[in-house]
Order: sequence, then C-alpha cells, then structure tokens
Amino acid sequence: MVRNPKTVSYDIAMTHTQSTKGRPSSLHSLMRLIPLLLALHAQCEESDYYQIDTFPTEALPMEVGAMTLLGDGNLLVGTRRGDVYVLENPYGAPEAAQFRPWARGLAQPLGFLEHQGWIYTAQRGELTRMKDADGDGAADTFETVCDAWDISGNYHEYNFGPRMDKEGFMWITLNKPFGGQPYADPEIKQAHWRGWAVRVNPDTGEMFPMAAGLRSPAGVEDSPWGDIFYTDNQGEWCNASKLSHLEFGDYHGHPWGLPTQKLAGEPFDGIPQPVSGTWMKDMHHQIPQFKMPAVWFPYDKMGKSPSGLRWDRSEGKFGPFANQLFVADQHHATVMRVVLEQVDGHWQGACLPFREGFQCGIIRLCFGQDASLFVGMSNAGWGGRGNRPWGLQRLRWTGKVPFEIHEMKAQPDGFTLSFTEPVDPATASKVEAYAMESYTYRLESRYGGPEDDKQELKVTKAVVSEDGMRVRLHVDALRAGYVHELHLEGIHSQSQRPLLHGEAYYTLVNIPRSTHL
Amino acid sequence: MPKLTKPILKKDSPHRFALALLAGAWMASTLILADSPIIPGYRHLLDKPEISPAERGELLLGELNCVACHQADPASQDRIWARSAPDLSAVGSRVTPGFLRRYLSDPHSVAPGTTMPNIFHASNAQARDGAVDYLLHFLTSLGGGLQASKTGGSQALIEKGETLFHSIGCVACHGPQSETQSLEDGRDYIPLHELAAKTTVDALSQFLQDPSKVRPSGRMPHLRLDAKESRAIALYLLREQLNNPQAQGAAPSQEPGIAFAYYEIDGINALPDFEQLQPLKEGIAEAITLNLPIERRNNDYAIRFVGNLEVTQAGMHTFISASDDGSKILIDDEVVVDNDGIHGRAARNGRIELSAGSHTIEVQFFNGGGGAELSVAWLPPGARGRRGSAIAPELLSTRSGQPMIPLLSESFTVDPQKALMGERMFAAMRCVACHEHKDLKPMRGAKGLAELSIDRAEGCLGDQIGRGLPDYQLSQTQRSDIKAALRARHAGPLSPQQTVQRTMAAFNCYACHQRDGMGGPSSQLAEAYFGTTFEIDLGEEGKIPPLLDHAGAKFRPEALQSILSSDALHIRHYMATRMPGFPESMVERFVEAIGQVDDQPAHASGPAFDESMAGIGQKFVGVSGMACITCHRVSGQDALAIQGIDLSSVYDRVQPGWFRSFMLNPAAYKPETRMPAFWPEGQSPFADILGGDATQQIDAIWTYLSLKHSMPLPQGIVPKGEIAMELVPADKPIVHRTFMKEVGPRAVLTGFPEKLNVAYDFNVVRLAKIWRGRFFDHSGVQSGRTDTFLEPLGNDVLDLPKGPAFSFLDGPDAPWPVPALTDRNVGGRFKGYQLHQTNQRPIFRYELESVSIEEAPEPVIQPGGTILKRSFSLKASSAARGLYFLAAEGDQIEQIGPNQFKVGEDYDIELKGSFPVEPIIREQGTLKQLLIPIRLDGEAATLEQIIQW
Repeated sequence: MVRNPKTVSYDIAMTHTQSTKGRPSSLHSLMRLIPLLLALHAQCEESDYYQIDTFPTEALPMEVGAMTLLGDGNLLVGTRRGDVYVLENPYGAPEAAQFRPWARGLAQPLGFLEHQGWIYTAQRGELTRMKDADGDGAADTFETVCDAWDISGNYHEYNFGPRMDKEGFMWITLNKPFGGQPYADPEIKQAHWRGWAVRVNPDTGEMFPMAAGLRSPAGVEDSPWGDIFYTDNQGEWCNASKLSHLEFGDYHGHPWGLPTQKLAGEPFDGIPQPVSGTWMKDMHHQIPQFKMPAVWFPYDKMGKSPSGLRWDRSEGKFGPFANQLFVADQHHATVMRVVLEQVDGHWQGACLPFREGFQCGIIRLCFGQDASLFVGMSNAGWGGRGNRPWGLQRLRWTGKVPFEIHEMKAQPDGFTLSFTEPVDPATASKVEAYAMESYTYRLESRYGGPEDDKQELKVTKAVVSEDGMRVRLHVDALRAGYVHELHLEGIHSQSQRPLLHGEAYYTLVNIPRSTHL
Repeated sequence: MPKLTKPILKKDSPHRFALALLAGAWMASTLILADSPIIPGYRHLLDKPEISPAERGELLLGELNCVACHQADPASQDRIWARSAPDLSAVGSRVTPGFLRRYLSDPHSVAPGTTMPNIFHASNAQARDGAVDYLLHFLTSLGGGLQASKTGGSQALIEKGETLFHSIGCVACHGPQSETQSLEDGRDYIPLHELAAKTTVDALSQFLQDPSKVRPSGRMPHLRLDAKESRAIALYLLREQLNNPQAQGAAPSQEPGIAFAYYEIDGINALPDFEQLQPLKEGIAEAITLNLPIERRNNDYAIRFVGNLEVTQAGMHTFISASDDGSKILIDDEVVVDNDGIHGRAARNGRIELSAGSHTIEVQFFNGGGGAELSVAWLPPGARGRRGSAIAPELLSTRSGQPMIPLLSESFTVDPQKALMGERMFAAMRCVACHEHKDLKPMRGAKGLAELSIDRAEGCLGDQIGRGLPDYQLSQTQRSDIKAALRARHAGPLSPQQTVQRTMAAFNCYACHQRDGMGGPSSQLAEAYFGTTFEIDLGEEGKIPPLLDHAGAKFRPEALQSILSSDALHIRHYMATRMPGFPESMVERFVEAIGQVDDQPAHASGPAFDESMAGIGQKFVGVSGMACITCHRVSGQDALAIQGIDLSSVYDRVQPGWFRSFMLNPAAYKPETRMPAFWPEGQSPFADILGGDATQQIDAIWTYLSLKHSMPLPQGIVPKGEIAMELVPADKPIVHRTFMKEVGPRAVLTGFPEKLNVAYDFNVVRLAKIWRGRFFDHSGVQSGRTDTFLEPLGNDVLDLPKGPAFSFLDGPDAPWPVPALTDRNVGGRFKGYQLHQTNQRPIFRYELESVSIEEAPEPVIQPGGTILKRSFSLKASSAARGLYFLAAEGDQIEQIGPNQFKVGEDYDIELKGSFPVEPIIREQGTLKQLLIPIRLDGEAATLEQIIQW
C-alpha cells in the first residue's frame, strides 16, 4: 500500500497517538488529528537541522545557472541571462555578502569549472574558458575551447557542464531542442550532437562523443571516484526523471540524437530507433548499448525536474550524510538525497527527501568552503514552487543530527536500512511499520508516463541490529528493474524521536546475489 | 492609443439620434438650411485685416474649384490652387444609394456647409428627380456596389473611437461630435452629416486609413491611423447604426460559435502579425479549442479565433490562457493575456474591467513543434478559483460585434440603361468638370475666369442663379471676395508670404498652428480636446501644436518636408494631437516659401566638427553643465524630470544658425516656452570653459548634438532600456552572445557607448550587421523559454556581405564562398575575444588555416553619427598565398578616391594596409565585389577598413 506523502503523514500521526497514548483506533476524527499533527511537525522540522539563509537578490536578476567556488573561497555565480558575479564574503550574514560583476554577455552559461586558473563554461555555442588576465577584478579574456557541436537556434538546446573525469577530460551534456529549429542541418532536419554527452580534451579542444539518448540532461557531475553521472528530465522517451551513470558507448533511450551516430562512429553506429512501449528493463535485448538509470525519481513524489547535483565531500562537516549525493529539483524547489551502490557492475540506489522550502526552482548546487551548500535558482521559463523569480540561498547544517534513514542497500531477499541514530527496536522490528510496493516504467514516445506494473510487497521480517543502527528487511518477491518504494510508519529512535522523513525510493536494477553490508 | 489627461466629453446616445433621423430629419430636404460653404481657413483670413478681399477670393476660387469650369488665364493660374473634388470612380462601393439620392437632389440641405454646389436649384422637382435617378444609377454602378460591413461594432470599441476622435486631432477640423457639445468659438468646423446613413464601417475605415485615395486634394489628410484605430473611429462615427432597427429584421448576422483561421508558417517561434497573413483555412468553431473541424499539420502553424463575447455581468474579468506554445487573448483589441513564445504548457492570466454587453474577443495561438495545447478560461466577476471556467459557447458569436448597416438602407438594383443615361448626364451637367471620369469632357464650355460677367444676377455669384448653373449658397462676403479677386485680376505667382498663408488656410494648418497671429485652436477647443499622451508638466507647450512663426528659419528644409509628408521627425511624443501627412505638391511649395519668408539664420553651416568640442558639449548637456537632461531625453533615455523632446533629433531638424540664436534667448522665439535662457545677456555661468564664450559653448553643444543617435549619454542619465531586457551600453562596451535575425545562433554583438553597434556571425565568421543608436533587446532568448531571433533596436542598420571576411582563393577570379544556412567556419574558426585593458573594447580572434587574424571594431565619432573602423592584424607562421579580404559587396562599387570606394547608395569604405592595397572590383552573380589581396609575405600584416554610412 502506497499513499501520497500527505496521507502517509496522517497515518504516522495515527500510529503515534496509538502507541504513546493507547487511544482506540476509533479516533478517526480529523478535528482531533490536526493539533496532534501540528505538535508532531513542531517536534521535527527540517529547519532544525538544515537552515536556509537567503542572499538579497531583489536588485539583480540572479537567475542562477552556474556556480563554482574560487580559490579564495568566494563564489562565482553565473546567471541564465549571461551575467557573471563574484559573491564576496559568502559565508557570513547574507546581507554582508556582495555581488561584484565579473563578466557579462555569455549565452546561457549552465555550469562552471575552475581549471588551471581559467573558468570553463559550456555556453550555447561552445566550451569557453575565461579569466581576468590583467587582474582588474573582471574577466577580459574569453577563449573558445571547443565549438564542435551544432545549434539549430532553438531555445531548448541548453548545454550543461563541464565536469572533469578522472582522465582529465571535460564532460558536457547537450539538450535536445523543443520546437522550431531555424538553423537545422538540411539533411537530418535538426542540429547534430543534440541529446548527446560528449567530453572535450581541454588542451586540444578535441570533442569525443561519449553517450547518446539524453533528453534534457540538466545536471552533470563527477563522482568522488571520478565517474560522471547526470540527471535527466521526464518527457518524451523518458517516462520518469532519472539519475544515470554516463559511460562511453551508452545509449540512454531518447532517439532524438540518433542521426548523429554517423558522425560518432563505433560503438554508436547502428543504434536503431527504439520501439515505443518496451519495458525499460527489457530494452537491452533490443539495444545492447541501452543503459538503465541508477535512480528513478518518481514523478511528483521526488520532484519533477532534477537539475544540479553534488556529492558531499566534506567528511561530515555538512552533517551525517558524508559522501552521499545531493540532487536539486527545479520544480519542487527541493534538495533530495541519493545513496548509491554498485551491484553487478551497475550503479543503483535510492533517493530520499532531504530539504524543501527554497524560494524557487533550483538549478545549481555548490558546496562552499565551510561545507555549507549554495543553492542557486530561477523560474525563468519553468514555473515551480516558491514565491520568487530567482535567488541564491545557502543551506547550513545546524550541528543537530536529524533522525533519518541514512542508507538503503539492496540484499538478495530485501534491503538493509541504516539510520543516523539507533532505532527503538520495539517500533522498528514490527513488519507493519514498513509498507512497500514496486513498479517500473516503459520507454515510450509519450510525454512522461505512469508508474507501471505495480505490486504491493510484503515485508516478512524486520531484524534490528544489535547496535540499533540497522534494520534488515526481508521482502517477498523483489523485482529487478523496478522502483521499490518504501514507507516507514511509527518508527522511533531510541531517544523516542520520530523519523524526519519516512520514505525512500530504491531503483533495483540488479538484485545482489549475495548478502553484503 | 493615447491616454487623455483630460476627461473627454460624455458619450451621447446614438439611439436617440437615429430615431430623430428617422422621425423627421429626412424632411430636411424641404427645409432651407442656408449654410454657406465652409472653408475653415477662410475664416482665419477674414479675421486678418492685412489680407485683402481679393486674396480671400482667390482662396475661394481654388477651394470651390471655380477654375474647373472657368479656366484661369496663365497669368493668374499660379495664384489659384484648384482643389480637386472627390474621386467618384468607386463611389458605389462606399456610399448608399439613399444618401446619394438625397445629396444629389439638394446637397445643401443634406450637408449644410458642403462645397458641393446644387445643380438643380432652379429645376422643377420632376426634372430634378429624373436626372437624379439617372445619376444615381450611374454612380451606384461605380465600384461594384456597397458591401455589408464585415466588421460589426460594440459599445466598447465605439468608446475607443470616440476617445481617439477627440484626442488625436480630428476635432481641429471637424469639431467635437457630441450633440451636447457645441462650441461657439467663432471658428468654422467641417460638419459630418448623416454619415450613418451614408456609408459602412468597412468603407469608412478604409477611407480613414488613406483619405487621399478618394480625396486626392489632401484637404482631408491622413493621421497615420492603423487598421484598428481607423476601425474604432469609423465605428464611432457610424455609431447610430448599432441600433438600426433595420438590422433587427435582417437575417441574423451573429452565428453561435467563433470564427477561426488557420495559418502555416515555417519556423514559427512567436505569434505573427495576422493582419499581414493569408489564412489557409477558415471556419467556425463551437468553442475556443484546438478541436477544430479541419486537418492541420503537427508543427509550425498558427490559429486565430475572432468573435464576439457577450458579457452578462459588468465588472473585473480575469482571462486565462494555458497553451503550448504561445497564445494571446485580446478583448476589444486590447491585449489582456500575453502568453507568447515557445514553451511547454504554461498558463498566464490577465484582468480587464468590462461593461455588460457585447465585446470583441480574439485568441491567437501558435505551435512551433512538439505538443500543442490551448485552453482558454475566464473568471467573471465573483467567480473564485485559479483555473476559471471555459467560456460557454452560447456567449460567443461569430461577428466581431453587433451588425452595423447604414440607416435607411434600401435595396437598389442598378438599371444599366439608366446608368448609361446617368453617365451622359454626368457630362451634361458638368459634374465631370470637378469629378473626373474616364475621358469624359463637360458637354458645354464655360467662359474663362477673365471673361466672366461678374455682376450678372443670373450668374453663379448673382441673386437669381440661372438654371443649370451651380449654386454654392455663397454668403455675401464670399461673393464679394470672389468678385474682388475677379476684378483685381492679380497676375503672377503669389509672394512667399502669401503662399505660406494660402497654404495654411487651404489645408487648415491654422486649425492647430498659429502664425502671424492667425490660427491655433480656440481656447475652448484647446481646453477640452488638446491633451498629452501621458502626464507631463509642459503646460500648453505639451498640448498645443507649436507656433509656426520663424519655422522657416528654424527647420532644415528637408526636415520640414519629412515632418509634413511622412512620419519621420515627429518628435513630440507627449502630444496627443498627431501631425497629419500632406501631399508632396503642397509640401514642396510650402517649404520653399516659408524658407524664403522667415529670417535666414546667419552661420548657416554651423561650426566645423571637432571631437574635443563634442566632449565639451556632452558635459554641458549633462548634470554638471546646463543639465539639459532635466527636461530633455537623450537617445530614448529618460530625462531626469520632464520627458521633453529627445535631443538626438535636434541636429536633423533644426538649422545651426537658428539654434545659436534660440539658445541665447528662447523666449524670443517661443514666448510661452519653459526653456530657460542659460546665457542671460550672453553671459555664461561657466566662465572657465571655452573662455566663457557663449557662442563657442553653444557651438560645443551643437557639435555634440551632431552625433545624433551616436551621442554618448551625458552625465546624470541613468541608462535604462525602454523595454525590460534592453541592453544599454553606458560607460563601456557590451559584448554579448545571442541569437540574432540574419546573423544566426552564434551571434556575438558589441554595443559601444558611442552608439555604434556591430554584430558578428561566428557560424560563418563575418561581420554581419552594423547600426547606430539603441543596441539590442535581450528578451528574444532570455524571457522564459524563447528563441526569437530579434533585429537591432537602433537605426541606420547596414547589412554587410553574406560571405566570410577572409578566404583563400585559387585566383582573383575564383568564386567567393557563399555559405549555406548551416555552414560553419567558412571564414575560419572563431577563437574568442579579448577586452582591451582600458577602454574594454573587444578584439576578436579567428584562425583561417595557418593564418591567425585579430579584428578590432572601433567607433569613430563624427557629425551625423559614429562610423566604424575595423583594424585587422594578421599573422602567419609562413608566407600565406592567395588570401583575400572581401571589403564590400553590392549592386555597384565605384572607386571615388585612392583606396576609397562607394558601395551602391549604401556606404563608403576606405582601406589602409601595411602593404600596398591593390583592390580588385569584380562581379559574382548579380553583385559586385571588392577584394583586397592580402600580402602576408613576412610574419605579419595589418589592414584597416573604415565604413561610413
């Protein structure tokens, strides 16, 4: 049984009242639930643990599209309108920080990377590097590193990146267009390389095709181990938004860029048009290069448009989630948490709620020197939650540890959950505390698609570890290639705190063959 | 539409007027309304004793077109300017038979004050009616008959028309139209009689857009109305038709549903101007949805719905349009919801206060590609919620308003026999003398002007005008003035002063402008109907068209010519009254004469250009100088306090000598001006600049003004785009990458503070466009999800060759590369740019094979506008052979000096090289090309190109 999050929170409240006060379950009166709910919310607020600071941006159109940390700890902020500012004094009171103009006139810079004294950015037309050569505080040198991809003149041909892989190449993901394309290649009626991930040798400017089948890859990021991941947005040939691992030769499912294969050569030569309606999990039979996602973000439950992503490399300075991945959402104005593991060579894992309530749809994340997370946003063109057209905020860990699911890992017959503090075995060992269902998606030409082939799953056993930090769930009938959506109800920590968030969505591409920790 | 700062008259009841008309106004034909012909300018001359009766008489001889029958002798021909009568070649398509019948029978009773004479005044009724019947069949046969108006009306549009009529200057000649408003200001206004029975909305609206087609004399000038404005005014003038009882019995002209039209436009990425397009399919839809009974393609199309919306409850209405891609909702021609541009499903809303009753609704939609969706909803007053509800189909009707048909319409069938007789009658009655028709000539001749028996009682000027002669119903004064003119027999052309006065009287310039103490609107008229388009504290100067004393000295003749005959240089943007457009013939004569009459300014050519003087002028205009920018805008930038005339227009309009004298003592030229004297008694408050010399200081300002649209902004102006995302270079250049029309998706633009702008196409690697003035609107790629390829915002746009700047050729005859739309790197590879350390100007870099090229575009200021200097620096590791520079391309290229060339009529170029420049002029296709072989024998070469346009 899976309910929408609102219903779930009511049920948590119900369980809470039953377990602590022993009231009969006939207390279904909503009137009586409301104060209890309020009390519960007062008890655990996201803001108790992670606080949002807001930089004043009323005077500047701070439609943040790119961010990177400079050597001196200041933040370089690029806007969708093409302006670049240095945010000076970014760690104190937000009112004391200053935006200093550094460059302007760029075409939709949607990512920054500092490398050897240059700032690299993927603009619409090219990978550019720029710097302040004369030291007067503003950029004066703008060099074209690579402009090997085409643009048809369509607004949707955004480019994201660059991010550097372990071999020193810079990765860029290239959006496919949407609508009119006045400068389309007459032969293929579109521009080449749209819907591809490419990497560029920063020294020679040479471009190498890496992966095809991307749709709207609004975030690209290098992992701590040097691999590249990207987020893609739900739409045609992409029934649900996803996080995917990018490797040379992959095909991610969108057919838009397939005509470019003839320029890309092996191993792309010959990827056929996918058959609409095929189960995602079966696609590799049809197209061997097909790559399953690492994590699906079920629509509306976990945002609608994943964008920027960053790993927490602060070794604990940002709280209990060191080495985990944080993914922003451009519609829900949220930051989500992702935990990954490699199973049979495939990166997969779970996404979990982390923090909501930013002032508009988020595009970029960037960790600061003090391990606070800068959150840059804009609603230009894509409406979302929040009440501002743009903004820059900063998320700080207050030092308090929330009671949260820390990780979710797959087992041959279930999952292991770990927590940020020991659980109360009385609440955590009851199987009724766990509701789970699984579903999957098809690869379809339609614009977004439903959670398909749903099935409720039975948790047959919940074993709490001796130290209370883990719960081993035994689940009937795991299904490979399915999202396993889990809701926890009524679980308390040993200090009797309720969970801050009681849900997780594990994308089980492969079922592990052996138990692991 | 200008917003009046003054409330205009209350609307009258068209209904009442229509009833009055029906009840008895027709009986008017039996009444005697002895109004003499109204020539408004004549009244102004009457008030001026210096003007002799003979001069007034000459005006009448022309305005009544006496010379059409009575030929003027050569000596007086130039003194009498015949006013041609309306062109009747299509009169049947615009005037109702009923009106024609009444008007032909007795023009003076139907239209008191008309200049059309009565031909039948002495005929018996039977003879008259017979002749009128023939004429009627003939005239009605011309032009293919009167069509019912396609556009209907609504009270809201009528009110718009009323506001326009009473604010943009129509009242200056025609007077206010409200029945409750009658001016007694001693002026003559040309009445508009029985229009509602005379013509249709479509015909009148067409006429108003270009009256000269029907009235070539130019007495009715055009006021630069667009289609919507002219329709609104036509609806207002014909408002009685809205309640025409005849329309009620007529077939229902409003069908349920809404009319739609379907268009296909390749590469569409924003809503088009539908008025300019031909629909592929049309039909009627039940509701405003995409579920239409037509086949349509998936991408690149647009649909327009036009209809009538019945509002049941007055109050604030919210309209919502959710669409993929763009859409707009217009109510009564006003954009209420703007959801334009390429985007996924996006909803926008807008609010408008609506009265109960019928309003026009227009919904525009387009789909570029991908999903298509349109959902239109509304929230009538009191409705709650965010999504609104669909507009119920029964509230929609197909006509864009209630049907409007001429009052007292009758069915009429042209009898060809009678029409033929009518045509003969047209010649026999000498109608053709005034109203030309084919090559018909009047059947009977008339005496020449010089041979007339002036005092004959049976003559045109007598008391018992003979049968068959025209009766103009002239007043006693008019008659005696005409007689005076005929007796005086002045010979030779008019003096310049007389020419100016005659022009102003004939064309009724006096209605708005004063000169020599004559004319200008009466105080009552000015008070009520001469306003401003926005709140501006300029007093009467802001509302009343300027005095024309000294105008001949003030204006450059070519400027005056533009002002009178075109839209150019109409710079009083705050004034609600519009300057009309007049025929060329009148304009030339007037401009020449007024230039001769008014004192010629000394110092006719102005100071020689000097860059440092321009800089001093810029300081004077700014806040640390005379602070002219307190009340004057500069290049479209707001002034600090009062948004007066833009200084960038001054140089083009006024003469340097006048400028000097005016600046020293403005009140001497404009007694009521708010412009202070900045050099009282010739003393400068800035004694340390230019030795405190007033004349030199004014010359410095003049030199600065001579840069026109290239004037760098003076100190104190806070640059702001006129539109939300306008880029405004202020203290340093702006280098900007974007999409740009005709430049491409890899456009790199630079706007210099000197108001020079350049756009490079780095797909091809070429300089594509240069222009002056305002720079660029960034919203094309920046407002939400848009990819509109916008054009320059400024002026003087010059397109440069389509091919690359440099190319290797096998020989001087080898073709220059012609890049296709998506060809890349034809002229090398773009490598980026560097901003100059001090002035921040960009130096672009590109590589063509082994040659590395740097190109620095730079502004060079000079009078008339900044010009462009391109400096190229070329480097190669080894000698490069066969490299050429494409310096120009055009229909004609002519060498005009050493290394100087004229390219068509568009621009001049000058070239300098570090090597001997050996230009080659050659042909490629239909164009001439100017190639410069690059001599890169050593390691480096430089080349400089100056483009002047």
